[in-house]
Amino acid sequence: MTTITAAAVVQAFLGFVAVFFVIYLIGYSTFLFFSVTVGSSFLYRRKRETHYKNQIMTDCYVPVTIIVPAYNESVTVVSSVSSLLKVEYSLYEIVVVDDGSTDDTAQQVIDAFDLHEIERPIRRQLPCNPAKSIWSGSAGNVPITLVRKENGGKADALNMGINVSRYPYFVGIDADSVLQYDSLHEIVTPVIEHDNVVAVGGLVRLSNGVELKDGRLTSYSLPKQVIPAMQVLEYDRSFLSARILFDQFNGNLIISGAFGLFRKDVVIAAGGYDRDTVGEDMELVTKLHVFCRTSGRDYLIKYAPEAICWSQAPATLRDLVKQRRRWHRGLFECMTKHWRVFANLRYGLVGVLSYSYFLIYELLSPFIELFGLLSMAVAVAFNFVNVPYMILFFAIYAAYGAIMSLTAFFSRVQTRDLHLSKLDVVRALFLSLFEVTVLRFVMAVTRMLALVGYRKKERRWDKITRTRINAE
Amino acid sequence: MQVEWLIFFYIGVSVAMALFDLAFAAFESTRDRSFKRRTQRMAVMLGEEIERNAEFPTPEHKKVLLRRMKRLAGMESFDLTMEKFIVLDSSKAERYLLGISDVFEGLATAYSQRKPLNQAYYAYVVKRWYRLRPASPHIVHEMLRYMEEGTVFLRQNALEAVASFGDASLMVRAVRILDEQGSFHHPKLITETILSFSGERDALADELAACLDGFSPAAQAAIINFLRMRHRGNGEWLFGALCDAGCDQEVRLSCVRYFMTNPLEAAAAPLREMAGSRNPGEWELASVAASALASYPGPETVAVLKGMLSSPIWYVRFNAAKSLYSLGLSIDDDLADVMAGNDRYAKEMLLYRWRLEEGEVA
Repeated sequence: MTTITAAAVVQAFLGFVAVFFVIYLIGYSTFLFFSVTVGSSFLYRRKRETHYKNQIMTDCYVPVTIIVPAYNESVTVVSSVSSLLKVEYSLYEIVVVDDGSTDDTAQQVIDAFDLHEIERPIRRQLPCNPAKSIWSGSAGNVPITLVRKENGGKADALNMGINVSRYPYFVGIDADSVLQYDSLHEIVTPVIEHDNVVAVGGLVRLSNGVELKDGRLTSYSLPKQVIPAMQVLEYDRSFLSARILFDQFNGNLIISGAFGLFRKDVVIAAGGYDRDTVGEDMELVTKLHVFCRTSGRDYLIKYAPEAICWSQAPATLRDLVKQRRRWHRGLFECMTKHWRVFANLRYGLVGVLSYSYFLIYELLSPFIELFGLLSMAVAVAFNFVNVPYMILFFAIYAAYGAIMSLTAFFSRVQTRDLHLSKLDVVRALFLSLFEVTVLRFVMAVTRMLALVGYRKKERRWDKITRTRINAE
Repeated sequence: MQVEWLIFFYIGVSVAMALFDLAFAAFESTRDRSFKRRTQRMAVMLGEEIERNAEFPTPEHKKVLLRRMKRLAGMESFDLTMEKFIVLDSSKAERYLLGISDVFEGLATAYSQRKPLNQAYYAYVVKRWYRLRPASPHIVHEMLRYMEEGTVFLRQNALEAVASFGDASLMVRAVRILDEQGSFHHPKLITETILSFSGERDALADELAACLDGFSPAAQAAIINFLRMRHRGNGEWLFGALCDAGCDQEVRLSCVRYFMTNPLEAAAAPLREMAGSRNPGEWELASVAASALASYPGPETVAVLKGMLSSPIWYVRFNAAKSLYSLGLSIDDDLADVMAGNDRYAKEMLLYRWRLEEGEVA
């Protein structure tokens, strides 16, 4: 009798779990379907528009400061700043902020660009650790400033960069990134098209496997190593497509720290980067939504997929896990700090859709997936599982995910007129399957464990092995 | 059973997406090949006609050209082909382009009902290759209509096409239409396009200056920026706007910049007053006025600029120090009182500016 009751309870529980997961998976699959469809059609439409000169071709002289926060980046910082000098844009300056590096990052910049030390008063509009010295110089018409400051983390370094900047717009990029030659023009374009843009996100693409010359792509292929190659597919499916979808209703909550443009006065009014979070990029964008909506300001946060920044992907699983742990902690901090946004009609679709998506399918998904696995184990123990049916379900789900990844990937390849070798096409097919089955699982576990050992107000920089970017 | 339907649905979506990927790749590849062939045929056709009849292209040739250019791909082939011919023999190509002017007129009718994307490309091709002056009223009418109802790209391409016609009155009309239509069109785009005007720019400047009152403040600011760079304009109107505290701030800022580039003795006093303002809402005016005072040397200006070194606004101090340097003052003699004073911020800013300037010179 007891066994029968226990089985009935388990069956009822599993019935509930089944309904929950059907809804959960329908929600995710629908989101994936919409994001890939909307993302791909947007890219094809923009390609056609650009092809037929439906674009702003006039140089509008919107002054921009490029802020390069750097910590122990002696390997890449000079090539990164050199690449910034190749950008085809008429009015910009470069501010490198050395956040108390323990290597010779600052000296590399000083020597490479012949900078001289200067006593410069800093307008401290945003909180940041004190400067130790300021160096100034120029390359051609582009002023270069280097600030050596006490270590305080990436957000602290960015705040210092904003304080030192001269121009009304700033672009934050990573010290291991390279901007494509037209990226500044492209990222400024939404500011010219609309009068209420406060921030614009650029497209971060992985530089592993590509060759660049003077900011132009000269050779493109999938990275040879498996880990970066899988990330290429993941970036196209999860970031490019999803951000284009969110952009349709002004609902993007993330502008990647690797490449984003911001209106300086609005960022200062909102309080700048939060120095106590590791996910300062997402936190700032969410804060801008909150600030603008609370103050009744008409605003747009745009996404410009034609503004391209090349960035290095972690090449080893160990570095990838480190990076994703950091991202998940940043997500957790941002979501908990701005919890009032959740399903709050005051924040419009940002609260109802964007925040809810990030909460359910990003922050909580590892736990939901763990719950699913445990439920499955219980179901197997009580012999409630039709194994062939389950395998068929997983196979179809994996094929579905892989095809979505491939659609997003090929849309991007076709709309940017890139040419893949046959080998790369075959590799993409296999990698997409491998990514949705293996990498996704590893990432789920990583995110599940991300909060283990979490400490609040942690201000550490990512320590990921850097290599020189293949850019002349 | 319901879950099975769900699985079937996923299978359907996956297969549809995979087929779409393959079909699109095949379509792109076929289209590329067809476009290359079409462009080659267009190059042969244009090349032969330019060789035979550069000045008087035959009606048959124009008829074929019109038919082909009614399609976007045909227009693109024409655009790419002309790009090559203009390099090979520009005088012949120019004569040929003049000879086919009526083809563009026929295209204006054909494109009048098309989508904004097609119209924007037509406007772009008109800007590049349409040579008849004065421009045909039909084409002018279409370009002005595009500006009233188009996307930002269509409006901009049409404005650039009008700028290429070189007719000052028409350009003024175009800017007015753009200003009166409801959608946002960035003032910087207006300024840059006016600057690219292919006709007599001073005449355009005079026409725009004569009717500044009729524009919105945003357009006024854009036009004043153009006048500043052309060193033209109605000094009385601009001076009035500079002194009028009720005038739009962007317009006043443009006027301050205007009088920085085009000094007017009478503007010195209001600029000094503006620069000395401690009203926090006017810090931008004060900051730009501080820069403008570099064009108004004299003891009164120096006194105001020295006072501005103690402003709580960083940019005001920064620009004041820059102007003091530009006026050729010495930090040891003329500015010794500031250096010996108690305002650390003022001293720091002066030292920074002098070191920066001297460093750059070195």
